[in-house]
Amino acid sequence: MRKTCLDALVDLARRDERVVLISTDAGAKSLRDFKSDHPWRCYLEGANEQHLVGMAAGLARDGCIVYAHADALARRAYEQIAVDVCHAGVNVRLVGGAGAPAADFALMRALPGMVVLAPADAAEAGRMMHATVDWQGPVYVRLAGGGEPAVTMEHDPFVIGKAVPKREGNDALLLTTGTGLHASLAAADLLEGHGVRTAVLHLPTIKPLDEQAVRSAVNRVAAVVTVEDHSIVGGLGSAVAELLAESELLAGRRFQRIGLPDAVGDRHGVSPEDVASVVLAMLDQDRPGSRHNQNTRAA
Amino acid sequence: MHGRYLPLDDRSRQLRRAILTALQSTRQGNFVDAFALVEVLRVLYDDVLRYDTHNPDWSERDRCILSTGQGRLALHAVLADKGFFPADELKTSHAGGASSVRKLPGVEAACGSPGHGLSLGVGFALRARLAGTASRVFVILGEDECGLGATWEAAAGAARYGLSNLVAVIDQPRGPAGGGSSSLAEKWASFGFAVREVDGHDVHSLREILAGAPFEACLPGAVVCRTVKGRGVDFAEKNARWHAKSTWTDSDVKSLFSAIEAA
Repeated sequence: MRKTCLDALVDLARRDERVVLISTDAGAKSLRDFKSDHPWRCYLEGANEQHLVGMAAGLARDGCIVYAHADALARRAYEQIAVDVCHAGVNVRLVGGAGAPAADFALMRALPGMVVLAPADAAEAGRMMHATVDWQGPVYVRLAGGGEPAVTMEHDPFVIGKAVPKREGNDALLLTTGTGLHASLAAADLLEGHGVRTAVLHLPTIKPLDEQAVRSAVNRVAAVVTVEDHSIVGGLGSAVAELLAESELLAGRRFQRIGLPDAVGDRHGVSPEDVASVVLAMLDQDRPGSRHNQNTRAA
Repeated sequence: MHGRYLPLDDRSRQLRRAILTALQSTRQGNFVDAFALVEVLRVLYDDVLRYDTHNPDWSERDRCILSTGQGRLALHAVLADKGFFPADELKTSHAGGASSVRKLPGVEAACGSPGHGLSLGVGFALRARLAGTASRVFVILGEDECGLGATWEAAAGAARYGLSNLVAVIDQPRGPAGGGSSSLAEKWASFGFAVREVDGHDVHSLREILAGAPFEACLPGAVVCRTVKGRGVDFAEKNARWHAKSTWTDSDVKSLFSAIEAA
């Protein structure tokens, strides 16, 4: 995902002279080539994220669109992101990794005006880079570690703020983002085997949330589950919970967040089996004589 | 009356009066840090920087970033004096609060949170290089910011890119105890900056040095300005009690106005 993303950025920069690239990844050949052609539009920095973000904000003040790429941006440069990027409202695109524990969605969602994106696979990451060029204001993109299976289609559109329906079903709904899409699609297959028709709505934009798409998808089902590679605190699950509570859409429905537990050092991915068993337990509760009396909080 | 320091001239008195008027209206903040920066800022805006008050976003302007938030009243007083915004704005609360790029024209960066200014300045200076303009960037740093890692990350970057169009202006207060050391100058030199040292209240020397930027080809500049907190108010120069004061009675402000007329 990272290589596709950096290649897409170099492609963008070659076509649009407003684009400036900053990265801590000196290993990427496409970046090194671009730097040798355009030394003042590409900066390969060390692990000095605070400076990197401030510098990006300065560069972006006069019409440049600056892509700043570093793994640990969200936490290490939080204050610079809040003050120099968000307060000034400049066109900086922060391209970072999740960090551990994964709390980047929570941190970035809390900042005024910040757009928060999480691609499901390399191809979507590439499409995202192109879609962010002309957006006004700051954007955060979380890249996954690499080797993600391809789950999006070439013709899947990517528009900031728009949900992508991936699968229909009237029994349960999986709302997911980033690499959670792969686990969600696999879980929906497993559930199909149990006779549970499961819809999957992919939300590559966590903020601003496509509220209309979420509401209308939720209206059709009895059980709603969010799936994300992020702490269950503050990410997509929280964003959806806030929306459902405020829209009074929780009545008569079961809702569960699946993500990383709120605990230190306990990080393993969300598996399709975890997701399927949570959905089955939720639906089972609604039946008379159910053996379950509480939801299982998986993974 | 003015002890060991040069007397203030009319311009320096006038700007200090504007700062005290703001203090009198808002009753927020403190004047001692602002008074330490009056001469640095007036020289920059009177004699050094190129800008257009009618077009604050003119892309070829020189930029001044006040990274240390503590002296912001001095910046706001100078900007109002130059006509970036009406002087009455100084009487509103945000004149004493955190500088806002969105509220006050001419303010280049939100200041207040320490350690951000030099990185922004590096970004501005790189932008000028990219655009091929002769824009210079002056970043005023507090002494405390020279203890922050982010400042030295930025310093290393500025030297690596050879940003001669960037000048760090360091406010190093002597304080009531006097003294001040040259170690800051050595640090900046060791990071690859062309360093100058100057009395931060000596208008003539400040003009000569700041107008001479860039100092050396391919080297960013650093000017270590030895300043005095509360300069112009003899009893505050010597008494740290005034430095921590944040509430102001009419009689406090009156005594400050009298003091600068005598300085």
